[in-house]
Amino acid sequence: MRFQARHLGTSSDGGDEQDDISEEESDLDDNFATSSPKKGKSAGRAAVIQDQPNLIVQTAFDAYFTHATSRAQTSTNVFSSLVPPLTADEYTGAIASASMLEPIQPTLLKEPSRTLVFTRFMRELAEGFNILVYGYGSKRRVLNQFATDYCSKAGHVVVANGFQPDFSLKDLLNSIENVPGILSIDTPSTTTESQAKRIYDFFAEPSQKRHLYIIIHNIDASPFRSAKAKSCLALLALNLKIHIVASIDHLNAPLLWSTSESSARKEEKPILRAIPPRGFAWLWHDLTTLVPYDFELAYADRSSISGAHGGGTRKKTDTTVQAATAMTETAALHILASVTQKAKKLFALLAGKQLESIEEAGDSTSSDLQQFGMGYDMLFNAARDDFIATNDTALRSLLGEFRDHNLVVAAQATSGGGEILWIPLRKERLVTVLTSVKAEL
Amino acid sequence: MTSIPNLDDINQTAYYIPFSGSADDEAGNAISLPLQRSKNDLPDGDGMRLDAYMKAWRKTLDRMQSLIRALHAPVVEQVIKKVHNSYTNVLPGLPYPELPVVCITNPTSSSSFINDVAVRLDSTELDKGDLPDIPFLSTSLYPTDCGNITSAMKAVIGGFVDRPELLMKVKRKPTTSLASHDIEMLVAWYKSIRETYNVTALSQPKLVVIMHDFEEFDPGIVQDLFYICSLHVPRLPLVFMLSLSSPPSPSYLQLTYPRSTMALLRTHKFDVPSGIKILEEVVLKTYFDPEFEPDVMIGPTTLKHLIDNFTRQNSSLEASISILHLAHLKHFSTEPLTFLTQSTPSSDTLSHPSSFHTLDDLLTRLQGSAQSTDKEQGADWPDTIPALIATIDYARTTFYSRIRRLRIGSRLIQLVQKFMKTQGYKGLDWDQRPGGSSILDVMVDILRGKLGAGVKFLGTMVKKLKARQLSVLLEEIHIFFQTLPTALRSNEEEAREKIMASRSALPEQMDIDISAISSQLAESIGEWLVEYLNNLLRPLEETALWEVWYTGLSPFPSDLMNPSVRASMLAGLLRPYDFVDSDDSEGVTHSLSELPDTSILFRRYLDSGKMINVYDWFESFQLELETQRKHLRKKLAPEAIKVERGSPKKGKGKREVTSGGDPLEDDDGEEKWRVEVQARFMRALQELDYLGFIKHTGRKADHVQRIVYDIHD
Repeated sequence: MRFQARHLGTSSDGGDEQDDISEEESDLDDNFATSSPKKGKSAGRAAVIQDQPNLIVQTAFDAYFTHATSRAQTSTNVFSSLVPPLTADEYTGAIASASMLEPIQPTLLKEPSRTLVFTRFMRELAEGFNILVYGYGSKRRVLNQFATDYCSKAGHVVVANGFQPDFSLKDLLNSIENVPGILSIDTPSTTTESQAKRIYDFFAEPSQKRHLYIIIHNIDASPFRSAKAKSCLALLALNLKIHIVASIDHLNAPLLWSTSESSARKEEKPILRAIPPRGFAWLWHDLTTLVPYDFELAYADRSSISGAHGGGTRKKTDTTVQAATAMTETAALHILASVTQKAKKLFALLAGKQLESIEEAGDSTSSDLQQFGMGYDMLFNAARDDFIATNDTALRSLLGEFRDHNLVVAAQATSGGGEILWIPLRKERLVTVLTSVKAEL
Repeated sequence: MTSIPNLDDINQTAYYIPFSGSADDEAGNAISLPLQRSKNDLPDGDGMRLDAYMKAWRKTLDRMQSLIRALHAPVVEQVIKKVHNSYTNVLPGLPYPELPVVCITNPTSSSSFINDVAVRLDSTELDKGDLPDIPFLSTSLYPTDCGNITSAMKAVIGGFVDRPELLMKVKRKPTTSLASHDIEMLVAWYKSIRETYNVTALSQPKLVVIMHDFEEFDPGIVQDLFYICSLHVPRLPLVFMLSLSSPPSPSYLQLTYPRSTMALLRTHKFDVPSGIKILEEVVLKTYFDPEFEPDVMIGPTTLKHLIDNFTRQNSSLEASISILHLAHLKHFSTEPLTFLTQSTPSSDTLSHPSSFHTLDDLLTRLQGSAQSTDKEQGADWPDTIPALIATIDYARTTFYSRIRRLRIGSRLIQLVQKFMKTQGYKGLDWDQRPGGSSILDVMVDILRGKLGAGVKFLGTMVKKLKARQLSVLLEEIHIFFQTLPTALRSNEEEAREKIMASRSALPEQMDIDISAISSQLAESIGEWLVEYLNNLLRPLEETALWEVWYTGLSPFPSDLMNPSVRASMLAGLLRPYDFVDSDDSEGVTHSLSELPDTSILFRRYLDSGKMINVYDWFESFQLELETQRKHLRKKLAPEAIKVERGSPKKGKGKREVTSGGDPLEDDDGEEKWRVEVQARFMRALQELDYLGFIKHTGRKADHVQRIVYDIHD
């Protein structure tokens, strides 16, 4: 729409306007040519451009097309090679002692607005809607307060932390089954679907008076995105006595639900049916808290720029990589201190080969260390040559200790041909660990 | 409070908080969830408003639901009939029996219609004796149930078989029983049902499978499902019911499924009534029908939003009902006087000292309306509580009678317009309105009081009518008055008399056009009609205390249904101080270095190109933090000086300590600062990542791709 409006504007304003536009555009081009983020000087220049009377308001569409047509020109600086990664200790220490500004507290979170908001939420839940809160800032604390101060006065409450990497829908359903009485309904099966059905049936019983409030932090997290999880939740969400309050943080989270799903309504007089209807009946509320997401990101790997990147199909591999790269120097040294001399030699061998291949690749930046790993067969040959392990069993037992502690990670090679082994430590740390191991040998 | 678990435990993913309310509301219903209180409320104002709201909304909702059911009823009836006869009149001589399939095209994609059908099919009150009377057994199938053919079959079979009320569950042994996805299981179950209940072949219940959101099913799996089921068709009277939301032509079924599958099916198509006509029907009959009187009238803004939402965003009746629901909820929670909607509290309540705030508010508003309108009801100013109650009651009856007349007026104007159309005149250009062509838009104009010109135009048209046409029009208006409910009719006695008189004044023989008489008559009727309609359509805002029964121009909170999540997030990042409601921050612009870390990083993100080099981003962030640090030190500096001045005894020595000991100055401090900047950068970066602003393409070393291209102004 706005794009159109712009074109209409230019055509109706006639010729001399045209020149302005071309000037403007060339200005913009100059601007985008230095494509990387502005430092002091160019930021000042941008301000100068902004000060000029600007008849045409550039829209997001214009910006997108301008960027898409030009080649992205950025410097060749590589962050991870120029800046050594922080260890977890360094990170927490620095954040704790950081001299930051006073946190901004939105009015919404202060009394009396908060009481008003919470009463309103309760009323809307009672009216048969479910609530979805959005906006920038961690909403965990606010919703937890809502759960303990309001919901628990009105019924059973279950709080789910969807943002945690090891969360699964099963955890949520198991917690709901803590509600006294649910397990007495006899459904032998323990699949998530039948569990959800059992909970639904329990709260659909006319004799059940107590309501259930489910607080879901980050319903946009990957465990809730699967079709199965959605259908289970959609079933529970339309129960008259179950109320869901959920938060979303991802920019595109609203895409999770179709309009018919989010505008479904609870039936006022539920008719007992074999298969109940499904949907969500969302009401959306802006709950911008401006609170940092420290709790939500507690599991993120602070040493990698993609450490907080989750979700999607790669989620599963991401979590293993995440768990793996979370290995620290100290942890590695502790493990190495408690293994046999031979195992240390094996580690040194593997580490040496890994460093070699990282050097060869000349690109120490990739967070995916698997590509620098070593095939099992090759490792076995090398180990036999060094008299570290003479047969397969011996090698496996040596590796066993490392693998148990995640100091060596294995995966099936993508291009066929057996197992790939690697040490989940970035180059710089691997070097320090290797030096200290070699010193001991 | 000990029952509340530690919600900050990072190792636990889900917590259960047991109910901690008082034990005596064991009934559950006693938990009161009040509306928001306002300062002008009566002591129990929120509770009273809640009661009033419940009554008002229930009344409206029941009306709308019965209207919707009535709209759906004919099609539901047809569908049921078709399912019922799906195995009786089968074309003879087919090479193999076909699987009956009922396609229901429901473009509004709301589930209310299919629910209506399902309720009809699925009568669960099954007693042993009356199964033969039950023609159907049904189950529902959702796309998520059908990830593969095994689970699809399992869902279908389980939906029928897992009904302990029909047939006692038999303990199954895995070694000797059929698998739960084997259709023979369903065959066996059905056979035993027939034997248990002695069902004859003729009256055997049909097995109906309702497939919701049919377009979302994987065609490959559905093909297999249809094939398997068609092999057993005569023994198992299966009927598939498909709920489609794509348009009837080109048919989704024909486009997606191959001939081999289509050959197995005998499809019947049904269309659910849809489109703006449905909404018009429901809204007109709820809010503009002289025969029904909702407690609260919706204002033009809400109505306009309703139309826009239906035509542009979500044309489902469920969403429309939700909009009205929210409008009611908002009306009763924001307007403190709505406790007066149905009845006025007793004088005891009102004369209680704690009600004085409310009385104050009430009197101010009464005064306001008495000044603005003519003095017809404000003549005697209420100086006692009973008089006030009488005034309120009077205001209520006045408002309701006014709105009744508005409804009559809206019907009458539609009638005249329709008449003009049938006579071949243009009438009012309702079809070519810029805002939209729905009759509801006309209602919006009526509520806004903008139809004056239209009424005048219609009057002019009437004045030009010929005698014959005039008689038809008068006849129609006469019938309209006849069909009104008695109570309303008696109020419009004057108008009816005028019509009667005009009818009798018309010359008997219309063949001879006695132009003088008829044109004179037409003239007078036209003038009368304009005056009468204008009188009927007087704005509702003119009555006293209209705010109680009419939502007026108060905007609909559309963000509740159709939020702008993206805009809110961008605002939170770019202008965090807007969320703080303080007086001195008006018009104060905050420089970039005064914003939180993530906001600084995000601003730099918006300044950059398609790909962002993380190192450069880091450097620009660092620069901004340096500025911030300088500012912070400047702020701290005066305090430090104050401290020094406060303790002059220590003198120079102290100063040396402060400057030398400043952790930000020396090398160690510099190193610490570097680590801090990096940590804060990582934190801000990962927050942006968490919010979905960053795409890791892996195409270039340590580069990320930008996703949002919004312009910061």
